[in-house]
Amino acid sequence: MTSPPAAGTFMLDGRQVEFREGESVLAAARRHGIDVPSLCYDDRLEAFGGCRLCAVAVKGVNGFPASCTTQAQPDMEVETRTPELDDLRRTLLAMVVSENGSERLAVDPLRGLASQELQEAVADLNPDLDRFKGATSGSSRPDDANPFILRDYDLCISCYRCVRVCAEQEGDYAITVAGRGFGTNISVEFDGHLRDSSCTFCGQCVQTCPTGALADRKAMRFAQTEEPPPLPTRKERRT
Amino acid sequence: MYSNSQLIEMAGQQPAPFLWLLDQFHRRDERLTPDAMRAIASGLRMPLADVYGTATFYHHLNLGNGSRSNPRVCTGPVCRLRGSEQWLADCPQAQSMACAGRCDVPVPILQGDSTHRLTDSALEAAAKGPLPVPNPGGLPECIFEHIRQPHQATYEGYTARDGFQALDAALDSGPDRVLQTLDDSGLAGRGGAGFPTGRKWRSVQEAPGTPKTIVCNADEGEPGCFKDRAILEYDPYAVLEGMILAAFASGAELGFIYLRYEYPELLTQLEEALTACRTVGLLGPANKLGSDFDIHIRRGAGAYVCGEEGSLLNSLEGKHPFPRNRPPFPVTHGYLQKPTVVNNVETLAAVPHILRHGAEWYRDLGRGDLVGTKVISVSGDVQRPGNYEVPFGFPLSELLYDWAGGPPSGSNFQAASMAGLSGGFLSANDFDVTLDEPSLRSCNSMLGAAGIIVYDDTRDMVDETRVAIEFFAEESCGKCFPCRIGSRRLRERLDAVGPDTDRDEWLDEVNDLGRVMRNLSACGLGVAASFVSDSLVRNFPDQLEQRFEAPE
Amino acid sequence: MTAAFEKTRTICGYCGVGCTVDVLTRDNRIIGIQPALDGPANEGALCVKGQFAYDYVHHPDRLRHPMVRNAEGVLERATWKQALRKAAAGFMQSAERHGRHAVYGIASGRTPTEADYMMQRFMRAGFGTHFIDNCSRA
Repeated sequence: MTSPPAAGTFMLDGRQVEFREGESVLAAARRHGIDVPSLCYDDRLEAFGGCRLCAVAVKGVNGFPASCTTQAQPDMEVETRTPELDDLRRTLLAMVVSENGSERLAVDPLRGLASQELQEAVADLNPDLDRFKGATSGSSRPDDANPFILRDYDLCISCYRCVRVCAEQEGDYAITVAGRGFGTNISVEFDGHLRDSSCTFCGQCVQTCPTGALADRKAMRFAQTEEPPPLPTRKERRT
Repeated sequence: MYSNSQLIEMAGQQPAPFLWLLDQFHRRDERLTPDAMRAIASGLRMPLADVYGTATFYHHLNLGNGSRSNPRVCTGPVCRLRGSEQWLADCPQAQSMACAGRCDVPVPILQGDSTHRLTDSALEAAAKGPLPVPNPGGLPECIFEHIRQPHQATYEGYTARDGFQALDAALDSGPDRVLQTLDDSGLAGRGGAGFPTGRKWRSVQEAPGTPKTIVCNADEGEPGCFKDRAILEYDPYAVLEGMILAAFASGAELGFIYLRYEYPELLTQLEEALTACRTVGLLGPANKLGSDFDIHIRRGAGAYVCGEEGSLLNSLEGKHPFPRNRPPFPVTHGYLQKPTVVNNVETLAAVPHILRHGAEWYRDLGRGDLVGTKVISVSGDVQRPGNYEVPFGFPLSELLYDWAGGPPSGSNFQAASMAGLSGGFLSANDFDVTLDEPSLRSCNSMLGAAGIIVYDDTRDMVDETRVAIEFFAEESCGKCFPCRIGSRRLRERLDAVGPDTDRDEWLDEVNDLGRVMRNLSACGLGVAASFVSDSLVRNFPDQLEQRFEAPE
Repeated sequence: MTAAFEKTRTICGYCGVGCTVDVLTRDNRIIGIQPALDGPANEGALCVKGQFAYDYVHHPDRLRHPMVRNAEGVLERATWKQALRKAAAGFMQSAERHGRHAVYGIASGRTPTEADYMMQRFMRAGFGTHFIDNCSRA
């Protein structure tokens, strides 16, 4: 892949950096070695702007726009880390952790390539893990007895990277966002099982999941690091 | 009764087929069946999972065992003051619906396509809401100038006065003249965001790409707001003339009215009005504008967030109704990524009056340096609820005491919500504010779409805050983390106010949740919820403290 | 729970796309496969075969030497020489009995260019047929 040409420069945390044509502030920052936290971002996918952890301060702009959906512009002045931003992010991350409780924050890296991202964000921002306790949002699907993908939605934080990678990268459109608000869940049509949907079990949803909510069930089984839900019998698979 | 394939074929001949099909199948089968969703998916070449997922987003679509004809009882904040929750509990087959925009005549019950009003003594048909009363202060009006004239809602009645004169004059003088007048008038978006209308139209005119689109946002979902309903019921042609003028000024070929599900009677009435306009060559192929501009009604299916323009456009396109990231804005990347005007009903209704009377006239309607008028929906604990058109800068107390008749006898005003619920609750101590954004902003509130729910001193503001937060939590779309998680946590905190809860921790968490939602939410919904919780803590600390104290 | 594993960078062997993968191993056994985000052909994508179809590597049923059916039709261990002779005889017999186009060659998508060249020479020059194809995608 050839990179788009440099399109100009802007101020990023006090230094002048160049950005490429169409590049977001987040992408430019990461390319220049500034790690802006994010949970819904996958650079292969269209920026979504859901998690808001990548919010930055832009001079002359009210509020804190998400850097993933903000295009870098010449003469822009961006701060990625200010005391206020750090505090807002830390509080937001505490809210995210509260969504599923802090007990299962640590997950086996075998679950998937991106499965450590939430833990890493927690290590980076160090939120208070005991705040904002309340109802949990996820609802796992142990009944989906396919041999490859564990749908452990008790860990889901609704970043929709799985839904987006399925559509944008794989072109399967097998999974979708169902419901609304805190009750949102990841589903195939009619709330069914993956094997009855247009899922091809390519595993890309597993590999982009930042919490291990979608997990490589086969790797967990082969490594026997933790007891995965039982596999379907041959008879169950036929029905 | 149409077959699946007939419906699919009919949908294929019109723009924005997805919402139309959802409504058609929902009507035909009384619910949205898997068979219907499969037909829509294959007919529109959409992924079945997405058809299902998007359908689950909307409150009013029955996907399970429920039926479209099951009664829906409004449990909006005003109707709850009238005991609607108890009625709902007494009627097992009924389901609850969010504020249905009839707060001036509570409690509405929607059954199929007809609305009834439930009161203590009776259940009566209530297709139309009350006509706005004559301006109590005798002030000149813009939106309501002709609304009380006989037959104003018919083509004959509308044209018998000065209907479509603004359009005729515009056709003579050209689009630039229209834009100039609007710029000079200072008209700005009356849905709450307040973007200058002339600038919006001009941006669409200048933006490359066709077809351009005009969308009338009639998804009036804000609790306590029922002004768009009244305008569309009693002066629909003014809105249509506004849309036609917008199409003329910006060069649009396509128009939509995005009408909320809860106004089914308006659907019929507006279809008739559109037919009348097509008959006289105002709309449709080779019309008087010299274009093919036509207007299509698309019915929402029950989602507050679809009043947000990005969500509305996604909904029209058949996508999951999440708000869009901005920029780009609809003026360049709107419906199907083409230049699009999205205007509120009231904004569009103002345009013909402004063009007829001139920019100067409109500017002078406002008080002081402020420009123009605003229709305000007043409801709750007040003698004369209803829609009132006031000049910007009008004193809130004058509206509530003099125009709306003050509190019910024997009580006093305690609080008023602003911007529907989105501006939080003002204390009666702050009723000396004037009705304009700068003044309300100084009270940490906003005018927004201008619904005002009044609460007298018998009301418990902690409970009212819980009702409001419950609404935002229920309507949070689920896209951005601050609102999705924050609205839920706020709701839980408001459920837990009491002597068993640690007061300091409670306040600390509620303040922090509000701060994150206000600063980091992706759209106004999360920001609004934080306004509500903040206003409780700031304006009603005594009631809050009382709850934390152990009972004697 | 989190026991260590090694990652070995390689190319998926299933088809001609050439997706870059990291094979995860513990104690010299494959326990999983992850796509490489920096893989030039796949940029983090894989298909179900590349992602999950590695059971064969350590499977007890996996063939480790040539097998040939005896007169009773039962597979028996054979030498490479015996097996190749048997295969060659089968091809020859079909071509002689039904003509040169009775033989059809499908090259594996995993074969290198040189082997593909040999394969088509084998079919075209050896049998005189142009019935030669490949399965260059999974």
